[in-house]
Amino acid sequence: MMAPIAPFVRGCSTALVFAAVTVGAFSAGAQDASPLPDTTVSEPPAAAPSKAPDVGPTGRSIVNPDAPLVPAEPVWNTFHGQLNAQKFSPLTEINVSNVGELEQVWEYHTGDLSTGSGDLPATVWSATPIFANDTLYIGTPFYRVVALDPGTGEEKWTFDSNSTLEALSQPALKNRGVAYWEAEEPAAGEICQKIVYLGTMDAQLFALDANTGKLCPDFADGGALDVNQWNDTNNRFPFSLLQPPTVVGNHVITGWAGKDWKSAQAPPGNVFSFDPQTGELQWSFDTIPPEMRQRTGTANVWTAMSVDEGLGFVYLPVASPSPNYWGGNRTDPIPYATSTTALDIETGEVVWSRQWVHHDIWDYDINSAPTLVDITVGSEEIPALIQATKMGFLFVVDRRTGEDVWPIEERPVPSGDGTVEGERYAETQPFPTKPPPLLDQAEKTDIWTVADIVGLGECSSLWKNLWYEGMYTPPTTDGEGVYTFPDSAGGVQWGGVAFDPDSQTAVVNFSHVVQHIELIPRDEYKKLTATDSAAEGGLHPQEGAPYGMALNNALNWAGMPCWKPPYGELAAIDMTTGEIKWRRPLGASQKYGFYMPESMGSPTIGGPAVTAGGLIFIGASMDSKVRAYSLETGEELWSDLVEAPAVANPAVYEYEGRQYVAFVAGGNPILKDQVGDQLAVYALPED
Amino acid sequence: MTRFDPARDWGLALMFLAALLATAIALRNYLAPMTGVTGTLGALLVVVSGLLLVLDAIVLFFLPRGTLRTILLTLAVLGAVGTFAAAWFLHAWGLMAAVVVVAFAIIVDVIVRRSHATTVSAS
Repeated sequence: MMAPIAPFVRGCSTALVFAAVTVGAFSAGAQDASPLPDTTVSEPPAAAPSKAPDVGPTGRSIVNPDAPLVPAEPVWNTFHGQLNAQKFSPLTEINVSNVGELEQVWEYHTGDLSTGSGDLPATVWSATPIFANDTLYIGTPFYRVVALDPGTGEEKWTFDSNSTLEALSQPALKNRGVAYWEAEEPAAGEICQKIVYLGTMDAQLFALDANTGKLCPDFADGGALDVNQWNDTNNRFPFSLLQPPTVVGNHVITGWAGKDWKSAQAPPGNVFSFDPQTGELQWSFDTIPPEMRQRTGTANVWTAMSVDEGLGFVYLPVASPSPNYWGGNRTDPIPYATSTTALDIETGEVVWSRQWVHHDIWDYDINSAPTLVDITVGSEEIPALIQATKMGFLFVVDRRTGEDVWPIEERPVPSGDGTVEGERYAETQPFPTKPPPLLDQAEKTDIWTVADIVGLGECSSLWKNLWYEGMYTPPTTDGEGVYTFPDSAGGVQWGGVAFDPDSQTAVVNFSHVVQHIELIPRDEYKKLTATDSAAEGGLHPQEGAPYGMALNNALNWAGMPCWKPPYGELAAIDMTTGEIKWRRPLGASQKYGFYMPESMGSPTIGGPAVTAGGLIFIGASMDSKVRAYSLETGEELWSDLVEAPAVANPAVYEYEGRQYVAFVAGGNPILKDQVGDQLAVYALPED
Repeated sequence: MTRFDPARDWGLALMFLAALLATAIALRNYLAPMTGVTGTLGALLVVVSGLLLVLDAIVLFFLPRGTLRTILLTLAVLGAVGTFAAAWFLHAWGLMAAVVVVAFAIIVDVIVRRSHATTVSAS
């Protein structure tokens, strides 16, 4: 699924209000789909892995074994800056001493935005611009590509896919950018030696010549590949290509997004690798065992992946299976669901896999690319990987093998209350011992007194009526349901973790959002949805399951959060010790235009970038501001207002000797109803 | 007909001008792009409250001393305080400054009129 997050903000009044937005689920294509016979499909292990990872092939061939984890030169040519997903720039021209002088040097408006009030669905634009070929490339939520001069913002070319602008799988028109490939030895005079890739909601993958924006004629069908041709199991929606592919060596690797919460049966998750110049399928990987694909679905990869070229591995953050809040149709293990899975880039075979939630019935998709880091713990240098999660846990493992860096313990978790038909519960779940959880899920959070007073005790009453026995308390039909902190809205989102390799500091933003889930027996659900107002109540059908469900944020009548602030934070973690160096509220919440104090923070969507100048750049907050913080202390050093919440990671690049920081201000209804089409680029004043 | 007496009415005149300025700032915040509060209900609210302060200043000019004038002065003070608070939550610093001037002008008006009345009475 693709980050279904319950939208915030819908009610009213002061602070933030979250509304429940349904974000799409995902569907997956299947391995046994038509033209895939000669692809490699990995069979999952028989049992869910706990501590021991699944070790895969040996004697592998690695195309680029000498590739360093951190590029020697500054690069920002992929969604997370670098394939290691560190979002790190070694540039130092902008640093803690002068960042206060940062000024907007140019902006560009794509014109591709919709509030959703007209014929078009609303737009959600989370694209990080990529800097390659001396050009800044961006994708838009109308599925166009714009190539810009990185120093002036002047248009070089544009490409319009003329894609259908319908919300086929997601509730909004979404785009998270484009990907870039270039030939190792470009053929002189030939086009498409450098290629930009754009995916669309309707499952088309376009390949464009990076110099001209013209379609590459040799790529699939005249420059467009119909990825939906492999969508042959539970084909309820197209494989939406909203996340740009991961491009490494001679591979264009992509998952897809679909629709969450709608059906128990959905396309089963898979990942494809295509030839960058022809679009020919090289391999595919299926996440769900063959015998279960008809019964369930998703467990797809809808977000970015990361790559260690030296090891020859691509790391997949795999989502949860369908339906999201009831697992009676999938009681057999699905080991790759809600996991980090490492594949051999060349073959698609599994090298290792760690499942982070067993039998996931909370929609805890692994939703961000693991960040690949080299860290020194004690005296040992460890090639590691940090997997951020919706739960607010950061799992740290050896990226060669998937083994723990700090112990990850399987701990007993609550089983059901006996009200849910056909369900089976995992007896244990993995808990990291270090770093500490970003959120305290041990017991219900404190109630925000102001909201409780305004709600005349509504929050206290809700707290009393929600069942909670700690993290992983399962959904129930009883009372007002189960308390979750966080659920689909919370913890870390697709912006993931940034990392400064010099100080070995990880940086991550995360939200504090309390939600509650109630399973509703089918007959009762039908009665509830017989009224027009049903869709407003956070109700989702989970068709094919014996239960529909309601997912809501814990708000009072006025839309004020019942839980105590902060609502979002930024934290820095010393990865040599696993200890948190500092944490602070991030941004400000806003409703009806009114800003709440910054000490209350804001829910966050988007992510950070860090630089060798000792800075963290981040938007991600409700108040539509972009900010710079000191990496060392967390002090806010600079901010500026942009058109809408910057829900993408910023890009940092150098062009003609000048350092730039670029933010896309596209907005996301999860934060607030404000859309934008602005690319805002900053630099220091020229002498 | 009431005539403008600079010695007596300068507080009201200041209130009128400051309220007009506050309204203009609020209107700009509501209408201009990228003010952070463009098109929001909160920004609209302070446009309305600014207009009410302008209207209040005009009506006060024509009102003689008495209960109604006292009520309208009280409402003006409350309006200024409320607008100030809203402006703070809107991060509308210019609007806050203008509303401070409105509040100052109201106080001036009360003091000047009281002093003026005493002077007239004594003469």
